Parts: sequence; structure tokens; C-alpha cells
Amino acid sequence: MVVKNKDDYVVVMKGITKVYPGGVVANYNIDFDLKRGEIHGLLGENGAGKTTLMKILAGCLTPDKGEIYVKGEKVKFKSPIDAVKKGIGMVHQHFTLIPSFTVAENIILGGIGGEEAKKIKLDMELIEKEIAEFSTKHGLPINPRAKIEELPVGLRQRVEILRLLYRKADILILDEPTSVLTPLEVKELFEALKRIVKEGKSVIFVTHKLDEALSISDRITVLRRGKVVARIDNPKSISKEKLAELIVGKKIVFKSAKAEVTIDKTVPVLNVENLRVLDDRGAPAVRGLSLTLYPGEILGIAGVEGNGQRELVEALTGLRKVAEGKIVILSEDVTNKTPKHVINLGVSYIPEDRIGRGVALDLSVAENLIAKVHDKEPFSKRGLLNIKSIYSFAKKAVEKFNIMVPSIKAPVMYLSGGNIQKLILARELSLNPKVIIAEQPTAGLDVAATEFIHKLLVDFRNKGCGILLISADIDEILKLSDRVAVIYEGKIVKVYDQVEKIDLIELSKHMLGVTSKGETVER
Amino acid sequence: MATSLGYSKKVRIIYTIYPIISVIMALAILSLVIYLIGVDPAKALYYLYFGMLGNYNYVSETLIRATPILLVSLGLAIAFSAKVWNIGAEGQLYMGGLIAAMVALNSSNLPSAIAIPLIWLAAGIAGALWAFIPAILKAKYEINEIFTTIMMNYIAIYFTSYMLHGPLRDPMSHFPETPTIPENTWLPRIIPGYRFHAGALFSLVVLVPLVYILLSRSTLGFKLRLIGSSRETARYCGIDVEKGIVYAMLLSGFFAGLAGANEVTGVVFKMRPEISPGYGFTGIAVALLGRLNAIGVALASIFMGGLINGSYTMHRMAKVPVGVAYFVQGLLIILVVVGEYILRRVMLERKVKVE
Repeated sequence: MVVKNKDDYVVVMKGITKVYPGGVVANYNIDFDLKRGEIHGLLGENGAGKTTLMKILAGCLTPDKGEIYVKGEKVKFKSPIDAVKKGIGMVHQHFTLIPSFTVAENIILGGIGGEEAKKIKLDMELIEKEIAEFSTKHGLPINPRAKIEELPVGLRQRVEILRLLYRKADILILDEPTSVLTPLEVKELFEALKRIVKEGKSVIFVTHKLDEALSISDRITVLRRGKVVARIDNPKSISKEKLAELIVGKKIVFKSAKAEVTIDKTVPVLNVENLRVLDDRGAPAVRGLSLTLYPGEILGIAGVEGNGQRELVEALTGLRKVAEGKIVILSEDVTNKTPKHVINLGVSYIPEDRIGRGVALDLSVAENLIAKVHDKEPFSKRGLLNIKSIYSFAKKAVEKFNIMVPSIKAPVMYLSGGNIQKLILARELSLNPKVIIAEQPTAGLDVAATEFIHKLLVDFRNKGCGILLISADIDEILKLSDRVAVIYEGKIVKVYDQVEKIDLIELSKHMLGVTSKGETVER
Repeated sequence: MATSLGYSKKVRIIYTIYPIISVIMALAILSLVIYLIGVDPAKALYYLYFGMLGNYNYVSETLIRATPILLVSLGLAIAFSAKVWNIGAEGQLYMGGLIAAMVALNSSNLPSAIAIPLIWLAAGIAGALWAFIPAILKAKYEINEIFTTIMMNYIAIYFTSYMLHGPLRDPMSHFPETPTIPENTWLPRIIPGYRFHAGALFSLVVLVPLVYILLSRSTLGFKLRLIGSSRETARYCGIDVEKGIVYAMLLSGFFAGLAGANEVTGVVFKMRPEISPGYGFTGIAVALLGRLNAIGVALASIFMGGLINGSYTMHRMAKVPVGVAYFVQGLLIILVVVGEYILRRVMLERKVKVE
């Protein structure tokens, strides 16, 4: 029976666990398998752990726990080269082609096959001819002499796939392959993939788009927050609604200790009007977004990651330039003001990137705790730090927020992820904020830390603080928010004023850009 | 829960004493090389030590040699704390020395108590201004300061050379150098019979504590260290990162300029084209070896100054080439940088327990 399995399953991953430095659990005890000749959809939101799992399979990352069997043989990959030798190839989200090289040159980068390999001199003409034939045979025709930089993205992806096939890969991993393609190119890609699996090769198709997963996959595995939540052997049997629910999570709306606060809700603490913000590449990320936040409420921003949340938050906190529109915080226009200005107004910001933005790893716990107020009394006077008052403040904060530290003088790099997050909260909440911007405040944290942070946020809301909660975790949004706004493609597409009355299916559809008719919204 | 307060304590202790370990490793490698060229390492190392601290005169000479290195590396400790990689201290030192000589030559009428501080201040400002150019390029246009500062060294050194061959040349001298500066601008010697001068004393007693306080006890130092640890975090905490980069560069240029003034007013008493045998580069090794801490830097520069002097004694007595001082210096940079990188990786990649 073992022999039969060996033929049936080309990949078996058992109990894969991966923890990133800082303590974020990207994969927890994941089982995954791939049959010969199938297209296996790996579905989940951004940050669900799909890419991590696939990078482990492709040898780019090593798991902390778990076993991997390829074609019945137990493997331990030390590098992608080991995986390639076993026939595993991955097309990454960011392409790995050399722009100034031709298609043929890029394809043979990993080595030349056949007779040509024995020669010292490269006979490019012959190789190009071979590659032209090779690509037509696989239904992925391409001009081998074209330079990569001259090709549209769809064709570049085709080169990536051809390169894997040329290296004799029979297990192909495609990470979000359609995110850069036009609908027509998607159709072509799907046809090519179907042809590839008919040759007996296997494909893992990683995506967060459920329509695509449903239309191409023979089987689907759904990941959420680093765990497998569903395995679907017959995608035709499942409805789109059910799948959407699986992706974003089972909703249990329970009331937390929210007090009914009577606060004047006529004056907003934060008002955003028709905001436009560009992303790092200069493409519009926030496209005419408006929202209003009142004191004493938690406004949840629900949305799949990458729909402009990051750019919105950075614009609000002064870290990113606003291209157009207006941001008013506590009746003051803060459009394009400095981060310092926004901080001084009483805006606390709990960033998603805890390690890169939230803390300075080399500085001590105490120094990190006063980083935003180091130039204010009592922490400093006339340009000199008051070490005594810094330490006594740090001692109290560490106690109050229950941060586990070896010493308040120890560098933050010795802390675990959960404790780093508590430290950030301690610093931000000690500012006596009037507005809190919380970005994925509990991502990757365990239940206890999550509960602790939720309680703190609710406490501040009860005190009359306005909280903007940006989270990819629907459970969290529904649990904490007084109102929910859905962000999609840089705009607020829906605001729910009463959380109790949210239709979850409808919410998922708004988040995934699916209209009520069930069709994908055009970009 | 992903928790555990750390990795083995052993690694942390090793990290703390690593500068000492790297010095020992460098001397061990040096001994091997000495052995390979056919000299008894024990004998050679004895003369190395003797030339460093063998008697009061050698101690005085070591401190004099250490002073320009100390001044440069104090400034570099400030810049490196903000991860601003000023490799241009040598050029900043030359500009400082040039201006020091020019001001000194025109200060014969001033009392020493005014003339000397004035010369040092002018030299410091000259060094700072020379550093301002790469600073602005870095802060405003994100041009890598490593390349610009290295290139600025050559401009400064050749500009100095031009000035010494031309406008500032002493007509009475056979060499391209300025006339000797007036005696009222010479740094006073502290102990009769020894060359140990006020500049060395001032650097050790005033500037070392000052830089220590600046880096670990001042808001400016805090900002610079925060910028050095993570520019993104600094920006998020409301710190003007561009301004911080410029300040770090200006301060390190200022100290390098002072090193130039120290050589002109305390050792050579004129400006010469070879005023520095590479103190600006030695300072890089010293700043790293001293862990960007003023006291560590003071100890490291005394070691390095002694090493240079000791290598002359070792050469005379044991026939070991003089270049060994620079050999050890190069070894130290490699050992410190690589070793600390590895140790940090070990510390960051600690195992995390999962639920």
C-alpha cells in the first residue's frame, strides 16, 4: 500500500510549523499533499501562511517542525537547488528574471540540457531554436530572442514557467500567478496549466481569489492564520459563499466588556475627505477614500490586505505624502504634516510591522518605551536625559502591561513577539491618546496576548478615545468594532453602522470585491 | 505562546567581551606571522609591549600618538551610532590641519589662552564643513555617504598638497610645508621632560566624558542611536531623520578637524602633506573596536597608538617590519565586524517555543 501512495502523492507535508524570528507563527502544524497530475488550489487571505508553506516546499525556508516527502522519499531541503533536483520549481510573486537578458538566456540560466551541455561554447542560435520548439510544444509560445525588459508581465511569467519546465520540474508552484495578469492572460495561463497536468506534472496554485481557485483546482486546501481550516476534495460541491466564509473565518460575534458611553458624537476626532495616496511604486493605492471617526467608538476597517490600508495609515500618521484630499484630526488640518506633529496632537499608532517600525531592536526596553517622549519632561531637561525618571517610568509600564523582559535595560531584540507588541502598546497608550490607529494589533499572537490587547483597546474606547482598527481578521473586527467600514481597492465601499446586523456573506463579498450578482468587480 | 527570554547566557557574555577576544585573536595571528618570518614571537611581542608602555616616556609617546586617533574615533563613534558611515575623517582631518595652520600663522599677537581655542575651533568647523557636503547629499538625495566621503578624502589631501606647494609654502624650507607656527600657538607641555601636551590631556579628560554624555545621556544622542538602530522606527517616533544624519556627519567632521589641529599645534607645529599616516582610517577600526562607546574608544585608541609606536620598537629590536601595526589594524576590523555580525545573528535566531 505504501507503493501505491508513492505513485499517487508526489508531495506529502506533515505537521509543518514555521515561526519567524520575533515569534510570528506563520505555519502551525500544517498537513498538505499533492497528487500526480492535479492542480491543487492553496487558498487563503494574505498573511494566512500560503507563501511561507510554499517557500518551505521549494527549499527557500526551512521549517521548525514537520516532515516533507517528495515522491515517497523523505527530504530535507537546504536550498532551492535541492528542491529543483527533486523536480520542484516555484514561480515567485516577484519574478526572478534578469531584465537585460533574452528569453533564451534566462531559461538556460539554471543549466543547459541535452547535447549542448557538453560543449564549451554556447551555440545560442541552436539553443534558441530548441527553446522555440520547446515552448510551442508546451502551448506557451514565445520569441526566445526577445529581451525580458521588453516583454509584458504575462509573457515574463510564461518565461518563468518555461524555465521550470526546461529544468524538468514536474511539481510547479505558482504563487499568486494571476495578480499581475489581465483576464485574457489568465485564461491562457489556465489552459496552459491544464495541458501541463495532462502530461503527468502537478501544479500548486496559490491564490486569495476564490473564483480562480474554484475554476481551475481539482482540490483545494484553505489556510487561515497559519492553519489548515478546510480541505475540499470536490470544488464543484462547494458554494462560493461557503468558501468565502472559510477563508475569512467562522464568525462568532460576542460582546466584550464594552460600556455604553455617552459621548458627544457630533464632533469627529478624525475626518478623512476624498483622500488619494500613492504606493511605493507611485501607483494609486488610496483612491478617493472618505471616513469619519467619532470619540468613544471603534471603527473597524475590514478588507483583504493590500487594498490601500497600509498607505491610508501612513498618510494619517504623516509617514506618507498625501497626493490629494484632506485629513482633519481633532479639528486641525494635518494633511502632509510631520509624524511629530500628528503624535503631539494625541494620535497613537500601533504599526503592523512591529520589528521594523514599532521598535528599535538595539535599544533597551526602557529607551523604546520613551522613544516618542524622550524630549519631553520629566524624561529630559535642557537636552539631557533623566535616566532615573526614564527607568522608573519603564519599570511601571513593564509591570502594568505585564511585559516579560530580562531587564528594562536589555535590548528589545531579546524579547518575544508578543512582548514586543505589549511594549509597543505600553508606549502608545501611555501617550494619553485621543485617537488610536491600530494596525493588525494581534496578528500572529496567541490567545492570551490577543485578549489582553483587545481589553486594552476596549478600555480606551470606553474612556472616549476614537480607535481606528485595521485588521485582516474578521473575527477581531466584528468582536471589537462599533461600526465597520469595508475597504476595497483604496475606497470605502460599505459602512455598517450596526455590527449586530452585518450579513457575513455580504461582508465577505464586499471585501473580496464580489458584487451581489456574484461577479468580480472590474479593476 | 511564543515566549522565552532568550538564548544562552553564554552568547551574551561572549558578545560583551568580544572586543577583547578579537584583540587576542589578532595578536595570535600576528604571532603566527612573526613566527613564519623567522622571528621569536615572544621576543617580538615583548618589544611591542615595551614600545607601548615600557617606561614613562613610552607611555607619554603612546598617549600623544593616541590623541589624533582618539579625536577621530570619538567623532566616528557619534556618526556610526546613527549608522552614518563617514569614511572621510582623513580628509576632514587634513582640512582641519590646513585651517589650523592658517589661523595659527596669523595669531602671533594673541595670547595663548585665546589663540589655541580659536585655532581648534576653526579647525573643527573646517572639518565639519568638509563633512557637510556628503551629509547634505546623503540626507537630501540619499547618495551613499561611504563613496562620497572616501572621494572627498582625495580632494582634501590634494587640495592641501596644492596649498602647501603654492600659496602657503614656507619660502625658507626645502619641503612643501608651512612655516613653523608662532610659539604662542603651541600646545603647552604638561609634564617637564615629556612631550605629553595639553591637547592629549584635554581630549582624554574633557572630550571623552563629553562624548560619553552626548551619546548615552543626551536627547541628541538618543535620537542618533534611534536613527542608527532603525531609520523607519525613528521616523515613526517623530524624529527628523535627515536632520539627524546631518548632525551626525557635522559632529564627526568637527572631531576629525580637531585631530588636524592637535597635530599642527601639539606635535608638528606646521602643516605638512603627510600630517597624518592614516589616522582617519585607523579611527574607523578604533571606533568599532571601542563599540562606539566613548570610554571603549579611549581604551582602543590608546591600544592602537601604542601598537603603532610599539611596532617601531619591535622593528628596531626584533627586525619585524613596521607595517605590522596596520596589519593588526586590518585584522581587527575584519575580526570585529565579522565576529559581531555572526554573534548578532546567533542572538536573533534564537529558538522560539510554540504553544
